[in-house]
Amino acid sequence: MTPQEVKELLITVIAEQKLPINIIDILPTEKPDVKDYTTETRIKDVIHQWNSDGKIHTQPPGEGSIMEFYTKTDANTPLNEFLDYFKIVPLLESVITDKEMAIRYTDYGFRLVTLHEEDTSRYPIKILHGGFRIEKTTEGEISTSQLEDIADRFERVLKEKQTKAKLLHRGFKLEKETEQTLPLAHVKQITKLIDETLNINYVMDSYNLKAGSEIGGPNMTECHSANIRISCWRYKHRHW
Amino acid sequence: MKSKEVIEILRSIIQELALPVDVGDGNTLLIVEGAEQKAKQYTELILKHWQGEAALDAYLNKNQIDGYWRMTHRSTLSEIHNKIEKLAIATHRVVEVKEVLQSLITERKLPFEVYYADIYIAILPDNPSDYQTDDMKELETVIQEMQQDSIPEGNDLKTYIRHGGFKLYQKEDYVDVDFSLVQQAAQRLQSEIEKHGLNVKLLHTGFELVKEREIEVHISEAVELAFRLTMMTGINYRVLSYGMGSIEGRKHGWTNEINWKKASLLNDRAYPYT
Repeated sequence: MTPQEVKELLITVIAEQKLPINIIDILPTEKPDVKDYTTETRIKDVIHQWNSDGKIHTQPPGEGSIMEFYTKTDANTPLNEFLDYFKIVPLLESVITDKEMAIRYTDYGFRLVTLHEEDTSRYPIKILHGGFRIEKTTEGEISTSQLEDIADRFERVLKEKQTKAKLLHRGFKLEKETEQTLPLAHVKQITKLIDETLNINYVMDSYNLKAGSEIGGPNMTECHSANIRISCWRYKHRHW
Repeated sequence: MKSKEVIEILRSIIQELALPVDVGDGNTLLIVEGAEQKAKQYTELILKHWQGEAALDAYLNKNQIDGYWRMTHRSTLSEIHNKIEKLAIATHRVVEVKEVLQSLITERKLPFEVYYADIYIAILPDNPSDYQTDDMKELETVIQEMQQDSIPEGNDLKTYIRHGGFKLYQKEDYVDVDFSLVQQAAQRLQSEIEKHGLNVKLLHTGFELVKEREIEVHISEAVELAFRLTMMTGINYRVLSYGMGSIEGRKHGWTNEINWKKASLLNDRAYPYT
């Protein structure tokens, strides 16, 4: 299956469950200017794990000396991060509301990487162009069991079609609703809560300053916007 | 054997094969190994003695290099050699990598042409002191004659002077080379000079994407192609530069992001001699 076919399969199984979810393509122009090296590294890690028989040209995602600090992305669960997404978003929204942080978030969506096991060409890894994000069409509840049914059916078809696939979520951009700056403490509070409540190793991956601001240092307390996403690192706070 | 002789042999092979490229002689590369700050300080000191105060000032304040030299204190000689070996291995795959890139462009129906760009031939000598240009000798003398008391304290500083190889330039814009002929040229050069203890490494560092400026496609499409190519091939490609080219014919309201003419898709910082 091609990445496009895998995406269509996801759309089909969602429709079968009659869930109020749309899959919206992300055009390359919609992607943020800032490079997302973390997700890129995690994708390389997934490909490296799939390459157990060494057929594909891959490189380990980190130098040997730092690999002990690296946490492996689960390459065997195609929809794991899709399921997590439906836990993270409500938590994110509730903490922003409960703590009156006045923060808005932008979803960076998913990247999709696939490998057809019978592809004998030298380059069997495929990537969906641009990726996609999820949009709820109504405010209705989506139950965990419905999502798990989607994951089961999706994984079963992939297996039948001898295709490996992995959706990797690229995290969220956080910024203030008004022109104010965003306290880094709020960002860290959010990632800590995701980490502790859902046991997903979320971190503040990077932050942006307004044009003309002084370069950030260890004493920085505020930023213009921040990116939070799943960490590459096994041990907390290594990145920041 | 000197680099001047090597370049002449290379030129004659290129002529015989009727390759549409010119050969440019490489830079002198100074590598200073040591603790970061001391190595930096020493590198700057050498530059001042070698090229003068004005050259050092231009380098430090304007990031300008006036002349055929490069220097680094951030990579060790062995790191540079490792990069060259890694890049030489990736270069063996470049024809099929171009096919993959072409297939991604076709899949998206993008109006891009792809050309091979940035082809180098690096020469790794068994005995570096035998393979020196006049410029390299001059630099060696400068370093030897520098007063010992002007060298930053610490005996861990080491300097190496190397020749930056040769760059192959396409003679005409938008006429691609037959890369198998380039490979043949490198093999023939190797067989001619290996008896002198010189080893040839053919290095291809990137592609050029070209489109008409009137056709509006955001540069992020090229960035996305680079990302997908990287994941598929395991070679790190990035769009490192893009632009509209000549001022002539530009229309009001055009932007580099949309009306770009050329984008350089480079194997990310692969070649340390440039």
